[in-house]
Amino acid sequence: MAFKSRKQKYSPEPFENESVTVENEDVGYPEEYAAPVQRKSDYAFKVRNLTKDYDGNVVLNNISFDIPSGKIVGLLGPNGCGKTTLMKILAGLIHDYTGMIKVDGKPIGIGSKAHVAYLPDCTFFPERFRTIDCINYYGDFFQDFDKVKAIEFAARFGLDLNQKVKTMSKGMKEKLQLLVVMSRSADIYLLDEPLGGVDPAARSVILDIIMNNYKENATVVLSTHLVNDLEHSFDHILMLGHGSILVNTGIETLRSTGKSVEEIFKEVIGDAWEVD
Amino acid sequence: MLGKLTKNTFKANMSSVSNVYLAMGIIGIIMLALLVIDWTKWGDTGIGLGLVIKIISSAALCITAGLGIIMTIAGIVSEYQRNMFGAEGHLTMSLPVRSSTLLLSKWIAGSFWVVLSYLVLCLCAFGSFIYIIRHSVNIVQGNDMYYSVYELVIEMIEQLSYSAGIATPSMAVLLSLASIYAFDGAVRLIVFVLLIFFAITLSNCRPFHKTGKFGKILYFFLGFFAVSTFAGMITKFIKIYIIISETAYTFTLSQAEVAAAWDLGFGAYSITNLYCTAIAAVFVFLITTVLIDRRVNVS
Repeated sequence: MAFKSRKQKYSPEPFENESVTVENEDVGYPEEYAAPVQRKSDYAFKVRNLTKDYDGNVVLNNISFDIPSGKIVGLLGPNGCGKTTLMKILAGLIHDYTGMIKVDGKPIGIGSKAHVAYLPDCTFFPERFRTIDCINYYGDFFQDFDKVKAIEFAARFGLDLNQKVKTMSKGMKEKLQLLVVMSRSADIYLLDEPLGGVDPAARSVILDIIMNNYKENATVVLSTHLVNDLEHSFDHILMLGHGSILVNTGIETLRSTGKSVEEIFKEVIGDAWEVD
Repeated sequence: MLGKLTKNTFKANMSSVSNVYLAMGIIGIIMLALLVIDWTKWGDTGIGLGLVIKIISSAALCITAGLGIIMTIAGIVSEYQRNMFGAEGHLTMSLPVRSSTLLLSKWIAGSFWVVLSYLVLCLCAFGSFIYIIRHSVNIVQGNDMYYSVYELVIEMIEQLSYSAGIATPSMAVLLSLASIYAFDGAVRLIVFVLLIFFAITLSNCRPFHKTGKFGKILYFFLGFFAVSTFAGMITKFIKIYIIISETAYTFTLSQAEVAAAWDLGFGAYSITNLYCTAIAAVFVFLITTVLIDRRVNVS
């Protein structure tokens, strides 16, 4: 079987002229001594003609969207609509898709992975690891990781630094994974169902950790079913359904309709799932 | 990054084989303890109760060492699948590291454990041979046992050389030949590990993922066949030999020189197949890297 090259599969249509902002421009000392200027895209994600199927079952069908930088984005949609698949693609875990993606102005690769903090919806640490091993592992591979902050979080969550992952409950594992991800000072956070398996009491603590610990001006993409709990936190909403983007807009635009996000969610998703 | 990744893989592999090495250590201690017993008191005159017990313990050691190889390979396979494409892949594949670096780290750690388990098996087999011979020689000839075992080995080599119709090589040449054979074996084991990784990676690419465990085995043998065919075809056309004398190594393409070398008590070894296998391994490595980069999904 011959593989098609990635170039062949990409849309021939290039991205529109991308505007970039320049950070640290006013450095206050002669330009020749200035540190290399960090160029940051206005968009955390630019996605064009993205299609992904599992054995012919199309999950994402030729979708295109942009997500502006520095927003808290709610990725909403019913089960099986492709939220996790989209997250995995953006995190660089799925490769056999067609379409073109830029993460923070860069194609998906080592460059983008260094700036993306990804929290999947499953346990990803080896069972033989202890809490401190998980923290050290992140410290080894991510330059933006704050070990002191992670140890503080562990204490706050009541996690023993010497406890092995295999002896932890599901909730403890989720807390451990959340604490290492939120101890990074990343430009983009991809959080896949961070509140999925936790009790309502822990939910508010976790939400508090997320909302108070992401880096300033970072983009947080948060997928969830718990629209009601989170709708006041979102700046931007991306709703998926039927393999398509149903809603991609700022929260103000949604609120101007006089309806809550949950109502719009039920309305839009209900329409999308209606059988003709 | 490579060092840190290798260290982690090394530890993960170690946890899967540590029990086998522990079992081998226990058997080894029992075998050493058996050396202290004076078997003549039990009526053993060289072939008796002591010999039977030592043969059983030696067999147990060798079987455990053989099991060690199987456990090592099984551990490497499961660690690679779990850590690259299973749940742990969510972490591994999101690291800001090149896929070639990831693969190389797995390859280095996996090769270390496979080569080690192979060496341990060879050591156990040779050690058991000496251990059993020593028992009889010790009882029959008393304290001259080490000298007698050495003499026995030399005599075996002389017999083999005579039946092959060549002059008996010197001990220095024999050691050099043994080193080259060991190096050849190690390279082939390292390529074997890479082929395992290639097969697992391919079986995680669509549409090959549908073939499951059977597919992994099939892709391994397909890869093995491709590498062997490539090396075999090149060897047919070009044969490069290394001639080993007591003082130097020389390379030659001449079969006549090789025959002459054996007649003079030197050693000779064809290295074409070895370097062709190594070249094929580079291609397998690159293909596996491309598959990881472009075709594989973390499930």
